Amino acid sequence: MSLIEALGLKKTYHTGEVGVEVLRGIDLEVGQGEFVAIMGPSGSGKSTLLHLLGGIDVPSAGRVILDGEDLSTLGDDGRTLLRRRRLGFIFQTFNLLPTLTAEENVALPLELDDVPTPEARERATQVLELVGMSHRRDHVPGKLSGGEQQRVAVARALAIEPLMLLADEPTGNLDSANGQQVTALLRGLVDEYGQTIVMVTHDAAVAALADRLVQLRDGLVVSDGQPMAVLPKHCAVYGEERVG
Amino acid sequence: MILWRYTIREMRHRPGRTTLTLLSIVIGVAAVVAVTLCGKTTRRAYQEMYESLAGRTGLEVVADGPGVRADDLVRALERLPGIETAVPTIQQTTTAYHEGQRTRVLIMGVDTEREAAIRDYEIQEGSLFQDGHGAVLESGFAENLGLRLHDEIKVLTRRGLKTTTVTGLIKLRGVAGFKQAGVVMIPLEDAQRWFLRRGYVNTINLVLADGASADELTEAVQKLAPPGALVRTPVARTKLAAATMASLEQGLKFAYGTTLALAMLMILNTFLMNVKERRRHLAVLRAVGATRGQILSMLLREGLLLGVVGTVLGCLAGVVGAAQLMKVMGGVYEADLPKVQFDLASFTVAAVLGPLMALLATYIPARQAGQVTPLEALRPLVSDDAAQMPRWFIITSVLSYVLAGALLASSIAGWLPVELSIPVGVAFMVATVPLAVILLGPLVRLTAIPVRQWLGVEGALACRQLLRRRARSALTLGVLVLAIGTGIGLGTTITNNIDDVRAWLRRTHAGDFFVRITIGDPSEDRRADIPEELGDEIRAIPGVWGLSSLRFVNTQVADQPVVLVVQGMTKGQPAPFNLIEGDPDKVAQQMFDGEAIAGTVLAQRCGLKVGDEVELSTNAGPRRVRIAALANEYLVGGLVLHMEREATRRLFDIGGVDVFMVKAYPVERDAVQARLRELTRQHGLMLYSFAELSQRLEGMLNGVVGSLWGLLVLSFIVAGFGIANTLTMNVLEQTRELALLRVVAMTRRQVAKTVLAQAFVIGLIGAVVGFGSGAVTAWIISLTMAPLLGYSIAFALHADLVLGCLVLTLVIVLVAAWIPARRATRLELLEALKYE
Repeated sequence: MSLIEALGLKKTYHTGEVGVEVLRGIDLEVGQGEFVAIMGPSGSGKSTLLHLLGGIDVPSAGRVILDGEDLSTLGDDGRTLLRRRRLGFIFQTFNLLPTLTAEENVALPLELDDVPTPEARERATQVLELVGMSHRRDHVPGKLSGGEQQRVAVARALAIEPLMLLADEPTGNLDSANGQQVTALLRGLVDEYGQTIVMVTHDAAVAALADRLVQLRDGLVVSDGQPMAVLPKHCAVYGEERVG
Repeated sequence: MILWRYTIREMRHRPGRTTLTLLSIVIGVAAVVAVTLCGKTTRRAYQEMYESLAGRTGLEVVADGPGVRADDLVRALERLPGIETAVPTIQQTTTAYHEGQRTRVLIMGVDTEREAAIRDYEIQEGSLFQDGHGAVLESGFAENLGLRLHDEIKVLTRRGLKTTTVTGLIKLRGVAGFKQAGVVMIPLEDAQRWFLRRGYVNTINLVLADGASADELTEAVQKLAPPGALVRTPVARTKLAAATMASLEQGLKFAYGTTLALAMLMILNTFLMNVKERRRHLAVLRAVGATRGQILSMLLREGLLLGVVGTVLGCLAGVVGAAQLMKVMGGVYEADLPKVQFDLASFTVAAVLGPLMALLATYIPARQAGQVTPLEALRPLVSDDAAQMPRWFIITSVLSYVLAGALLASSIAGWLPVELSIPVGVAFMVATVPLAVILLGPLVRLTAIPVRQWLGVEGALACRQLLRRRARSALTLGVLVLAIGTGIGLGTTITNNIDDVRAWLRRTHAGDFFVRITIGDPSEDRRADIPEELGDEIRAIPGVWGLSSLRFVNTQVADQPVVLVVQGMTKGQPAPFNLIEGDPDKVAQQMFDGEAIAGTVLAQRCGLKVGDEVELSTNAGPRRVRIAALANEYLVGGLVLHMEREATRRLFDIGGVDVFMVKAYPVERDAVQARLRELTRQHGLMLYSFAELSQRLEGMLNGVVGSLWGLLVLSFIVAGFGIANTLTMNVLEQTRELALLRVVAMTRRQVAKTVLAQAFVIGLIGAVVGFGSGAVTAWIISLTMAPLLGYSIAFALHADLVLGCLVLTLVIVLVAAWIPARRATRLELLEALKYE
């Protein structure tokens, strides 16, 4: 059974008089415990698709159904609560609040949901330990390396025990060593805890670690399958990329 | 809790931004407090000027004959709400003797504990009394009589001649010296013993609290007063003071309204920038689950916290600022400005207003922040507001402007109550701010043409930057426009008002010297005439080329107490009036024919027009008189009728002289003065020169002008701080962009020039638009005053005031931009590129 389902998703952005159709009708299903990578050239609509799946943005047409709930029926506050309680986000630029410590950043979504501070902190400590960052929990983001910041961001996403993790180029701002660490962490979450992850990436090596690779082009799905089956075609079309 | 922690950390993390935001509230609150305090001081200076013409007593209880028992009545009167102090006095006309000289004097028995409330003099020598006895005289009067300190003076009383010692010499303030010169003050107990009975008085002067209405209190006082006692407004104190004060009130209310708007705009602008700078963080909060309501309440809490802290600091800054400013202005104008008056009400208003202003100003950016979509967290750069302006904003702005304009037009046309004119005027001025947002593009592009020529690429970049942050630029512009508009508007109004007083003085006081009775106010009943034959003696003095006389008679027009001023005029000479209506060429002849000139306030209150007839109650019974003209009149109230001397003698059998006005050839002036002094000593009269009169009046006018400039300087200081604040915030916001410009080879000097050019362009546009709105404001105030004064004070723009304001604006703007420009040049490039 699918955890999230996109049906005929379309999205058009309007810049002045001109409308740009970014997604032109996407159908996609992601099952529980699945690790899906989305690839595609710039402007193909992969980030937009991720935003629609996470309720960050609303589609111009089509529907997103998460765990049986149609996101189009929710208002802004409804979608906010959905993000707060059921979805975890990981951004390319980490997006940690610079004035809060690692632990406070991780506890943030819980405290926003009125979880008592001691309880939220305890949970934050647990997930920081899970991502190997408990020793740095009192540090503010400015004192952490890029890799460490991204691991804290992963911890923040995990703190709420989300149904699904949405990651937008999580390794895009990291060097290869740190990138590998973060990718391994994500893979581990799927393998050990059955975490569902949808990840946008440019990096074929990162995509290769996913269970499934969806390739977009001009707002449409052009391929969907096992990474090893899709990647050779991808490399042929978009050039050599590092795999494995 | 976490959001509160985040707020506190954010404030500590960006001390510059927090300080600037806090500073905007401090400046805003300080401005409101200082304007309130300086406004009170200006109001006081103005009031003192008119009180010196009309006396501080708002109401008086007069009981002739045996008088009234004072103690219980005074206590009962002071319990009445609206009465500040009740001062019992005895006023008695009698004769005083000194070394064979005899003169008519007004004995004034004063209660030493209470007389300070109506005191209008300063002690020059000696003291008020010694051991509860003695006499105090006006120094000029004493000099005329040849009296010095410790000399003895004899006074004719009901118990025969009594001797007392001169214990003090006083100088009467302002124009009071010309009205009350022949007064001998003695202790109340002595006066009671000599003229009435112990515990009795014949007058109780009532000083009213600010804002209390004499009309409303009269009835309550009458109920307490014993039968036969008369409760009245002192004759010399007319509604004119209130009416002319209304002009100042309008100006001060306008200053208060615009300062409030200015403070709001400044705080709003800073908060907008503050929130805009944090947009990305707010988007992250939204992405991880903060609702719009949570963001809104977080920012409102922050606004409230800063509002409370800013209010406390602002109150302190306002008090210190107002006191210092008034001190400086008093020094500059060599005027004795009233002390800044502190009262709980000003601070209570500020205490409520400060946090409220901060909350209101935070609400818009906070609401905007609530609208931030989580998507913005995912974008590499925060978008700016250069995007197309929403249509609703354009429509609302234009509609607000049109609506405010229509209300203003209705107010000028008299379709709306006059009280609404100032709020409507302020609303109109504030409505120009959103309009400025719309017009900013064309205005900046227009200014960019010369600026590009003068300042090159930096000027062009500055214009682009201003247009890129359209809302912020327009709000900064709004702060400037309001400050300049208030400065020019208020300055022009009060300068025109004061010019009007000066013009009246020049026109109506047609004499080099004034010879007058020694006692009492000429307009009051207790007085003695000057022997009419003295006129011939004065005329015979070599060097005298003109002589006219005045006689003041109390009468009534349509139940309105009026002073009939009987004027001795010379045929062929122009009539010495500041005519508002009537034919100046014919008016003198019309007066010889028995027609009258009415003061504008009287005309306004009784609905009189040129050509109307009024009925006067005279000793010879009621008489009808035609109004030949209307004249502006400040002295002896405005409830005045002027008539020619021979005509009144013929029609009403009124003779006698209270004042002679003497004109002398300039080269003979000293000799004439010496001869006049001899004559006045002989006859026990007083002598004043026009120079003395105008010097005293100038002294008081300077007091008002000094306070006014204090207010103007204040509004410019506030604007200066506001601009410095917003420009510094502006540079903070542009940190990354300025760093990019430096990376692509812009020198530090060029960066500074770009920042200064932004300030210059805003200053230039602000100066031009502010000048327009200020001139319109002054014109509107002058129009709305007409219904109160009965005539329009001549409207004129003063080149020095306008030029001064414009130059001051550019200087302040450039000085204000200096600190942010310096900051911009010292940016650490790598740090600045990472700034978020």
